[in-house]
Amino acid sequence: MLKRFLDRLAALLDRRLKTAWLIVALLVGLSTYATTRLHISSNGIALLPQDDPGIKEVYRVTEMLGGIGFLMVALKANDEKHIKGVADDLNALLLKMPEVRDVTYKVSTEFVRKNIGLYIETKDLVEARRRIKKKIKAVIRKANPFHISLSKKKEVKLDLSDLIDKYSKMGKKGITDDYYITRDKKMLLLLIKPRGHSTDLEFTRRLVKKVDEKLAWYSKHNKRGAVLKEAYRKLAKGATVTYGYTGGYKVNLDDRDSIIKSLAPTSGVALGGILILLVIFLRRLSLVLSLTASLVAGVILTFGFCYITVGELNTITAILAGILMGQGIDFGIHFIYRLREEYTDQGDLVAAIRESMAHSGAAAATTAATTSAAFFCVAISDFRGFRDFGIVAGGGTIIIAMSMYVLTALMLLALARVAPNLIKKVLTVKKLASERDAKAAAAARAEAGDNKGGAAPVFGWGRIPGARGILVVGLLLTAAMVVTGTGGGPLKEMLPKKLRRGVTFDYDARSLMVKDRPSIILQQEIKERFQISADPAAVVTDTLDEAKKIYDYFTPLDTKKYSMIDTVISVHMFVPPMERQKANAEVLRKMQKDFKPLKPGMIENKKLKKHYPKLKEALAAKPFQLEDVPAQLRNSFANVPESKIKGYLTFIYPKVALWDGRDLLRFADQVGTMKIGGKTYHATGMAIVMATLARIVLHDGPIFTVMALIAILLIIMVDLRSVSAALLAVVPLLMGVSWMLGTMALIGKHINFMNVVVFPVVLGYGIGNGLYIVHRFRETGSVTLTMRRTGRAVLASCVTTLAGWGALLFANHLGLESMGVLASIGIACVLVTSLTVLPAALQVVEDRRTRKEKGSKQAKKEGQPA
Amino acid sequence: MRIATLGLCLALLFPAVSERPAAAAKDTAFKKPIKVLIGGVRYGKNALAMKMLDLEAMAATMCGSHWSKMSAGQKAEFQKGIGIIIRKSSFKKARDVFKHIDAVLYGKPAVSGEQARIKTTIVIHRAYKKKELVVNWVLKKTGKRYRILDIEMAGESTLKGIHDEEVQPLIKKGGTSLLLKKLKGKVSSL
Repeated sequence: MLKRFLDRLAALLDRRLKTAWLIVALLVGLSTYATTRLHISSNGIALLPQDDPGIKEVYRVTEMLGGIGFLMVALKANDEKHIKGVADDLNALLLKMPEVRDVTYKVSTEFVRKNIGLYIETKDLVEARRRIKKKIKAVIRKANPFHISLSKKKEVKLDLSDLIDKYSKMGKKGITDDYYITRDKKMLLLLIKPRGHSTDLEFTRRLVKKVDEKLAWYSKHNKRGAVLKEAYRKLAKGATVTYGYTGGYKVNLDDRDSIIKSLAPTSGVALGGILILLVIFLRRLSLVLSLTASLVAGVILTFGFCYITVGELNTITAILAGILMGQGIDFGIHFIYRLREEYTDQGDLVAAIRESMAHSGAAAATTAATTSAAFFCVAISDFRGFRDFGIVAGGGTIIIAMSMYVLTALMLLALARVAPNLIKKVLTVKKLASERDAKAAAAARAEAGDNKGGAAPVFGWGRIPGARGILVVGLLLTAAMVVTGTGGGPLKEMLPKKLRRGVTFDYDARSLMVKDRPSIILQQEIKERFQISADPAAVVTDTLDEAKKIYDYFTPLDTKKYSMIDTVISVHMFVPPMERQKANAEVLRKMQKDFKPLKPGMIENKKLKKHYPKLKEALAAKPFQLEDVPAQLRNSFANVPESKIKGYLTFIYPKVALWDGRDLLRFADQVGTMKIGGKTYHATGMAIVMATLARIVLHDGPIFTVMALIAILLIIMVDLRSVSAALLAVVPLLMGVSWMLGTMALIGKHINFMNVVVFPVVLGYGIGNGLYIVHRFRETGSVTLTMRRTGRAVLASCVTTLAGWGALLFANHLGLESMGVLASIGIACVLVTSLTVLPAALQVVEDRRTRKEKGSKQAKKEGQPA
Repeated sequence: MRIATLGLCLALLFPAVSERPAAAAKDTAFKKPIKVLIGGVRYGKNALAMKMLDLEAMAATMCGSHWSKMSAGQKAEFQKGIGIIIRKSSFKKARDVFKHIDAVLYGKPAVSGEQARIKTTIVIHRAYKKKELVVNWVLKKTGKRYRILDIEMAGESTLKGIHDEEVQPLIKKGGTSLLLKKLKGKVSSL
């Protein structure tokens, strides 16, 4: 039925050529207009399930704080005073920018230092008193000329370093220096809180550019003689201050830019490679140009479809053009190959188009249907990025398949009207012409009953030698690849250690980035020097009481239950429990008495002498309440004044940097949803957002795969109406994917969050190759003829696609490179199985049929039942 | 009548008038050993300064409860050693302080049985800087006069310090023999 429909469609195109062109022009025109109206949304948060509690909280926190995360500028210099002065100046400059909400680079910790005696644990204060008292006694004794010492003694040193280290930070901020500066005083952080969202990449790009301009201006016009240079590893001398960018905003932007930067040259290489290969395979520039024109039109129509269905492009669908073009060109290659064959055989363009569309078109329709089905399965995802991708890719595959057949046919029909000789020149294949003549001669001989030279099959094309052997080798190799790809399963111990892992999911996000990216290296350095592992998750509460409940719940931290949490900070960390304050105040009072007899003149140690007045001040600390804590300290935990949402924030810092997806998921599991004091709270932040995305991918991935396989099998069954034919058609798919996974395991490559989207592409090729070959075999009954004709088209389409995806192997971005690896290996494996194992299997079928036919002929001759 | 009245007045007045010299004489009894000690140390008259110290009582306090367990010979040896150390070391260090004395201000003595405590503020003028050293003296009466038993600086008893930091640990570690050995060693090093 499908073939009949396609045949009639081809006839209609010829009969109503002008109308067809008008319709096409209208559709392409409207789609072009729609394409210009499409914009690329870079807001990644909008792609996630909006009813997810963590995602809802993101919007709340964004409103309360004006954004999540920071743009960090790290300054490095040798001179402490100089670097602090520069930071002061830059703060003033940056605050004038409309894009900047706030800059944090120093916080007055004087209040904490003054009251440190009340913050520390009572047992530690008692221990400090003991050591200080011992030292005071030693100092007094030394000052007493009448004291006698009978044996050599080590000088009593006052060592409080362990206690000082323990309490030198409040939350993540050191209290010995107001600035966000490292201990060695050589690196200082400016945390810029922008007004836009970190997922709004265009905003971030503008912001970084403007900050850059400000720094450059400052470098030339400052009165300190400071010279600012962007450098990520150097610590410069003299007045030079080196700086680098990092933080959530910059890392997101760099990731995106590195993808685009990698894509640009690789796209050029891919396109060039594809065009060159097309010329080599098709040998006619005019055919290449018509295919390209049909392809471009198909892509435009797809974007028009995108405009009607989803309304916009996102960071994932933005790369669809490349994928669809890669697939689309294959439909065109198959069409042209078949068309040239039919034209060479029949010499009539319309008849050739009708035959091609009916036969090759039928296979193409099934291929498009199965590939679309695989893409449409992705459209059920909760992640809008995948959902939109599935819808647009699914619809786009069908649109492009139609475009390649219909538009190319229309172009050739139009060309035939104006330059019929050109058509002959373009579509006649000399090699096929001689084959045609040989076929005619063989048919004539057969009619004449001349079987000398052996009875040849219908067209006299021979057979594939050693088919059974190839099939057995293929099956054994597939078994070996399955074992390797899965890490051995029950046969694990038999494999070398290196291969026992199999192909797994690589959770490490750094495997998806550009190698040695400066902002990541800087982030790592900041983590080590400031001991901040990653951006914290935040919990929003409406009242201070609720914030207190949360803080008390985590203090002290149950490290077994919350193994991924490093520390929890809240406004309440500035107010120690009153019980402790009172107990400590009593100890401090006693320490004041201890110090009474000690006069500054008695102290020889210069450091102790210098800090003596401050020490005495700290001993005078009295218990206090939250209202006594300076506003500057309290404000970091509340909404910004212009926020419409009022509330308080508690920050939860993870123990490790959350590059590893498993750590990410564990952290999100521990803090994503918490029940405290009878109420449920949801932490949010980039870690939680990424975990939500990871969970969707991991959950949906297997579901999509199974659904796609079922859909593919059903469609094939409907098309081929034969279990054996359907099984043959999926040989390249099943074997090809097995070989792909086995090869990846052998070379140590794995699946990750980026290359997982390539799977439907490989599935599409696997099924497409099988369908084209099986369809042709059913038509001709000859494997060798099938492989000579359709096999060439399969080779041409896979090689051109390999050129496209293979260009990604040279991408600097590791995520893109992994996509190139998976696609190249997958398509190559599918191609090899399509050209070896599948023909071998078909040859076995053909031989069986031939034997059956021979047997029944023989029986007829001998008058016996067949 | 007038003579009687005068006599009566005189008789009434006399105790008040005669008390001041008596009080003054009593105060002198506490101040003298301190004055002599400071002066003796200051001007290098060690022998004189040593006489102001109740060395035996000092040695006994330094050894605490262990003193009664020591033999007479050990006691004598210990006392002698302490005396040498005080003379050769303590007096030398004290001289460095005392030679810059500007004034010594005496507080009111507080007597408790055989012991008395008196607070002094020693004003030191050194390199254009004035410093005040508050020293509490503990005196013990032996016979008719008071001698210095202990010196407290910044609330810390010198004898208690020596007992806790020096003598007690040595006795705990190696008994009287170790104590005397260390004492000998210290003496020979001076």
